[in-house]
Amino acid sequence: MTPHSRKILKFKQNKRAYWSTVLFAIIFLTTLFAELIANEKPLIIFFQGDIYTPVFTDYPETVFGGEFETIADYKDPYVRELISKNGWAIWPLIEYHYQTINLALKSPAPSPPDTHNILGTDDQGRDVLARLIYGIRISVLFGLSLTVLSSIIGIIAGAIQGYYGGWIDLAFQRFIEIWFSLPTLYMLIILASLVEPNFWWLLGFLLLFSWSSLVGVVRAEFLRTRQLGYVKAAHALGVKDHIIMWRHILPNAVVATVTMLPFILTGSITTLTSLDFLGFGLPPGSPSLGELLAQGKANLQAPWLGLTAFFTLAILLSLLIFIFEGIRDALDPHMKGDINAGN
Amino acid sequence: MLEIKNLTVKFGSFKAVKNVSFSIKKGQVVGIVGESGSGKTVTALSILQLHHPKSVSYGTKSAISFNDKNILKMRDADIRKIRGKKISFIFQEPMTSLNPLHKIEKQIAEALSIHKNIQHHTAKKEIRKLFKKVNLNPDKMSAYPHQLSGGQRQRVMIAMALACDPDLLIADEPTTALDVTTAKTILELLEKLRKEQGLSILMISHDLNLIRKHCHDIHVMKDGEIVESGKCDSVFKNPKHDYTKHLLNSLPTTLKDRFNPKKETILESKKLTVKFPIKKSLFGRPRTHLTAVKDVSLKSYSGQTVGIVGESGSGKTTLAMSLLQLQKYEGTVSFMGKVLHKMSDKDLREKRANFQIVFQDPFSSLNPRLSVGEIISEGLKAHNFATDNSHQKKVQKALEDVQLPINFINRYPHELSGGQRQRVAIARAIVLNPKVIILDEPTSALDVSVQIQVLDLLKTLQRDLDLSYILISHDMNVIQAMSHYVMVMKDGKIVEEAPRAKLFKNPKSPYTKTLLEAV
Repeated sequence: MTPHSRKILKFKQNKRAYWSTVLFAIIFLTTLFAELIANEKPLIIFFQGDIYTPVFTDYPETVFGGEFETIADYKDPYVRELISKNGWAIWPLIEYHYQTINLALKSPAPSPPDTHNILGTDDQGRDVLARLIYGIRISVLFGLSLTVLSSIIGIIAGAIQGYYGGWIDLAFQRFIEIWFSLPTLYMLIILASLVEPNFWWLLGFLLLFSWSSLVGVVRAEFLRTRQLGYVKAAHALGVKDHIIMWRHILPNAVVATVTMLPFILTGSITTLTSLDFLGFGLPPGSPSLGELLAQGKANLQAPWLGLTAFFTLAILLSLLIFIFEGIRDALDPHMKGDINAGN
Repeated sequence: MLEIKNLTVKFGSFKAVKNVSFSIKKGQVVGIVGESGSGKTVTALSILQLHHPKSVSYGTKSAISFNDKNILKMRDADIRKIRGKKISFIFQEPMTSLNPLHKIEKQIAEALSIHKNIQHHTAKKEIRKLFKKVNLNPDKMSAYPHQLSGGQRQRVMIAMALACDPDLLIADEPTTALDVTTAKTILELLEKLRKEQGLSILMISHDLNLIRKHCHDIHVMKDGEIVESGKCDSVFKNPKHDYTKHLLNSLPTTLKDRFNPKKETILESKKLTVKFPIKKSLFGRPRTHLTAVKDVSLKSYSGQTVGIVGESGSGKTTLAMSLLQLQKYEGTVSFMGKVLHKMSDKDLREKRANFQIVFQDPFSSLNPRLSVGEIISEGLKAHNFATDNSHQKKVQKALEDVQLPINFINRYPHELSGGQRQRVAIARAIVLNPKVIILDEPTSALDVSVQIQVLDLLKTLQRDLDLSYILISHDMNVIQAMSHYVMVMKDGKIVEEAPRAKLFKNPKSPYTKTLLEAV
């Protein structure tokens, strides 16, 4: 058995991690196709012998025999009637986009869950489930990108410090100490007053202050490993520095890195959530878990808002922790329960 | 006094010790000799029941009787009364068997308070006596373990073992981690204690010379079984079992070639000095230095070996690292007439193929994540020697040269034995066609019988490829077996240098003489 297939097998043996991965994959893949699941436009319209796909293309109302040259509003009962007279339409599972305001509410917004809005609506009459699906997508994507980018920077920075040591290490360490004692939140508030923060602004800005978490462990691992015999041997062979770092030292730092990753990932997701909660995050109107939490706080009479946000976050973060716990154990050769134990 | 009958020790389904029986009488020194993995230490640990109780099981007929009581059937509380009080243990590594956080005094006092119920204030006197017994300055009582040398630490271990006047002392490779001259004094100390106190000693070692000099009875172990036992003299004179003969034949033999200074000079150092800063001023300027290597000038000739011999801390390895340009130094090192430290990094990297190294510990010098093929071809790739196809051929050729099967290419280091790993390390060096190889204690981590094979291999390679070796070792036998020219190093300085035959016949400096006597 190759080491890799053994690691995969070991991961699968950890039932909790395995099922968490499956569940998370389902949630993440579903939300990736949010436009096809929760949208205010039909997926396919069959109208007078032609096929239309409103999700991907905009059609003016006149195409369906309406009066205006503007883009058709498929939620409008008038347009619906036009289409159903000469054809049919397939709607997504949830007939609301995250921005769609349900104008046909029976009670004032926020309205409680009913058959149309399974998780109710928020204080602007928008479907909570639709916003949730889009919100999870943006949170997870943000968390993953921030984690990947800050890990890359952190590993490179830690590797350089640990490998070369001496002055480089000393100077870099002092720089990190100064840089990361800057108050991130205030910097963000200043940023918010200069530009309108969107996904990329936030990602870039948080990246500036989040890459340090891996530096310590990677640096320590490099400091330790560069003394090992096979690293010296590689030096003596005339192997270039970056190859030595990549091939001989970095694999040793993987377990330590993976141990840290879930904290970075969950940290990234909660950072975005808390910024949104405070109102310094994504632009107004964006679907986000933090904004849903803030609404829940503002509307205590509508518990479905706060509860939805709470359970979503709790489940999402727990799943991620379970998954990484499984990965870490699978990578660690010293863990008990090794399937090769006794050989 | 101690009698072991049919001892079988199992870990799960693996039998580490099979049907071992022997006995120790009062005042007797019994030696167990064997290579690593032969079950010597497992046997010794069984006597004090120091295995993890859940992982070990003993054979049904096994019995270890100490003063006519079976230790295997005792309760934990009773065994604890024997441990340390009646039977004491000295471990191989004096570094790791002392707690670095406590003063020596406190650690010895612990044994005293457990077994003799002596409280701290009266313990001091007792410890002072013990220190005198083991020839240790009583002032060292309040030192921490790191402030002592290896020999001093081993003396502390012996003092601890003797603290409760035991009847039996088990010494598991008591001198393996020590320098030859220190080892000699430790063994003399044990001999003295045996005579004075009527102590019995069970000596475990892989070192035949040591066993021969100090033991009355000897048991040769192989794969968990005793293959031969008897009086020490008769076993050494008339070995009966093949394995014993094999062990006795594995002492390295002296090299026959003579030193020839007319050959081409390959690597040369002039006035090489290495200093390590100890104290630094506020601005990082070193204030005081430790001089690890001082004014060493050496020449290596093609097809010949320069042996550098010295004890630990003498600066041998630092010298090797400087020759390889992996350590900053003063002075010059030149390779075939070209001065190395003036070269740019890039030029130096290209030159590196010409001077290679084989490290002492084959367990740490091979990356556990790479296969043997990848390890050997790494240098080829770094120097862009040829296409992938001819890489493969060169790797295969190198494996043949070091007498390993070609299908080893896809194995990983953990699947290989120590000797095989060292062969891979040698293959990694020779695949680049170097002119000179630095051998840093190439065989000291290996068993004696493997050691001789690796030395033979190195000799063959030297003859076939006209290699120049710089051999670093603490072992006079190895130096004698390999070197054409010998340099003796002490405290960073060369105290004596001469062609091999001359040095071994007429050592001039007193230090060389003690080294030769200690063998």
